Amino acid sequence: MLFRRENSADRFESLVREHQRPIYRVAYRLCGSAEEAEDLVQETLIEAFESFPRFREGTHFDRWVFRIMRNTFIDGVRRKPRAHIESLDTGILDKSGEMLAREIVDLASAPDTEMMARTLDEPVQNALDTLPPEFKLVVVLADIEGMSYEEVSRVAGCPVGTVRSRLHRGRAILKDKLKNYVRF
Amino acid sequence: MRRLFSTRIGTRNPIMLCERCNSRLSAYVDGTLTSAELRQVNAHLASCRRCREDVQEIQAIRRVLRSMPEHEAPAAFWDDTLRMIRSRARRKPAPFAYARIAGTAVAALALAIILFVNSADRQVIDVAPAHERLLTINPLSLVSLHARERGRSPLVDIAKVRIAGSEAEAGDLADDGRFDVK
Repeated sequence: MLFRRENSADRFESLVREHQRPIYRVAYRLCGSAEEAEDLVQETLIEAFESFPRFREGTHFDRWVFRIMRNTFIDGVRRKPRAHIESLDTGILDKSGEMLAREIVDLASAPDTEMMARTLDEPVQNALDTLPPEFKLVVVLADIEGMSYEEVSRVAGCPVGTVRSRLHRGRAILKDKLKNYVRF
Repeated sequence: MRRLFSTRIGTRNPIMLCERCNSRLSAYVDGTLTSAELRQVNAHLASCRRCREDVQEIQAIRRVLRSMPEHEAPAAFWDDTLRMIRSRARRKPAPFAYARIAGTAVAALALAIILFVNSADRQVIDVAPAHERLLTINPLSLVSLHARERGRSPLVDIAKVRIAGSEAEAGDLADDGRFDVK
């Protein structure tokens, strides 16, 4: 029995190593910080390992882990008190307490993509953090991971129509939250 | 001003409302509309500047999200996490193994109960001292004996009764309901 468990741990480890980047990427965008993302990944992987005998070889391991991560994430959000969310509509205070204007990225002038991504990383994450968890999950999977509506529907455990409406409403909220940063 | 309601007077097909079109714009940008929906949305976009702007904004949001920098966990995090999972694997058996152990324990207990009851079943109880010689016995007295023994030990059953050194079984019941003892 112990031998079988060890073999299973070997296989599990090799699958985790193979898919560690998307697993962490999704966790990071769901949580918004490295520390919370690491906690979410650990909790998810412990659950995943316990359920590993039910994993079907030949199916997408990362999608299977995302389904477990969805439950862990949403349960965690319900358990913890609401975190402070920074308003994106106001300016930023510098160390001397002076209000600074936010930098606005003009998408139309097509700036250097990498620079734009770095500049927008924090505001986009803050905007994502204002979304209800079910909306955030759908936006992260579809827009950051590039998954199809059907794949998102399987991970999120809801019909494709619900994915479509959550994605649309999520994007609308993001658009509104980012209007001070992005000139469309 | 944004058009919320629009029908072409004199035409049979009303133009899709902005609100209805707008709820489909994300799917339009993602290319997941059905051909019928696509026709309707295209027809609406051809005549609605505001919804065309919405399409551009959704495309921009999608572009921003897709270009977000990737955050990676340090290698040590994965090593530690996988080491922790491996140590849990060594420490305790898999959940299914627990189920197997529990199943085996329940089966063993059930078997023990059956064997115990079975052995109690074969228990021979003297209902009368050997020196007494009974010729007949009313079966009702056996029923009361049975009840008394059960009260003392619920698992005991009595199928055979030794009466005055002889063994009588259910088959020995005479037609008149009396118990013949040989």
